[in-house]
Amino acid sequence: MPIVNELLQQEMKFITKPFEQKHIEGLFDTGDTLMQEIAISLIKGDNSQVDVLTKKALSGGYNANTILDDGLIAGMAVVGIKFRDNFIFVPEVLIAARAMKAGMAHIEPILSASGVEPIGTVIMGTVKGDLHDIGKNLCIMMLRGAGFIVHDLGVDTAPEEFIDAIDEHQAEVLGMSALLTTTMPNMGRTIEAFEDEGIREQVFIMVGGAPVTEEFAEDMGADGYGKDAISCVDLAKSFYENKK
Amino acid sequence: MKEKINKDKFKKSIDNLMSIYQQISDSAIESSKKRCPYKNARNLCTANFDCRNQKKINQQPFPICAGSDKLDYRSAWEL
Repeated sequence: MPIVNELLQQEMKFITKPFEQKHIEGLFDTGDTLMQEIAISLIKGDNSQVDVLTKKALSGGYNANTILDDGLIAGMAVVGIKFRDNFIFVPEVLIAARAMKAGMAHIEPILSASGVEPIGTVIMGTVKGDLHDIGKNLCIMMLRGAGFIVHDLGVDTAPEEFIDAIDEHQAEVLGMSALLTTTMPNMGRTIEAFEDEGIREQVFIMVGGAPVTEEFAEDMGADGYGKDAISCVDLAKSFYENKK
Repeated sequence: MKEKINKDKFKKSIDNLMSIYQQISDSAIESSKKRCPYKNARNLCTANFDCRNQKKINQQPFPICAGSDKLDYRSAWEL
């Protein structure tokens, strides 16, 4: 029995398709108890446990690739299936992402020491007057997964906070989100604030959110519009690829 | 720091993670058409703002979501 962790075994009842059961079991076929503990802690969204276990694995001589594949990503594969099949929802996915970040915090210095540098730095925030954060948080999860450093300014972010963060972190990409038609114009106001500061050309600005359209994004002078979380990653990547 | 990472394996891992995230992104779009994305698996509201569908229960960290999911939940937020 490759899955030795009892809680992880219980998770298998959520994997209903035979080919996926086989795939998930295959991810744990080494039967390594510590990797399975990392995976189940990530599935449960226990970020402090993932933090402790990842540290323990590294100090115990586990290879970073192994921890990433057999612990963190294997756990996220289960999360993805549970979400698709409506056993969990966006809030649970986001707490699993927080746990992933806790584990990755220990892998990142090894990446850096191995010459794997982040793709770039992105500042993300929901615009002034808007308290909605779920779309932005999904984008952040995916940007981090793709290899970006992301600084999250949270919700209700004033133009000057975006400007300060770009300056402080020397970031070249800014992502703004709005969910209300009433706050959407604040994206345009933030872009104007960058123009007024004379730094508009230094920053690639991408926007998104349910009421935002490509046309609206273009009208307000954004450089890119992301219709969903994954296209936000594509936009940020394309900016860095075009820079080369 | 002595540990090193196998770059090719790492790239494969990230591709694998991104394909999981692609699926999550697609599921999020589908799920948000019929259910408020702030509502967790226990039907509790995790939003940090007020919504008319929230029913607060004493000493519970999250209010219960009383939304029917049949209505466009976004109108509840525009208070």
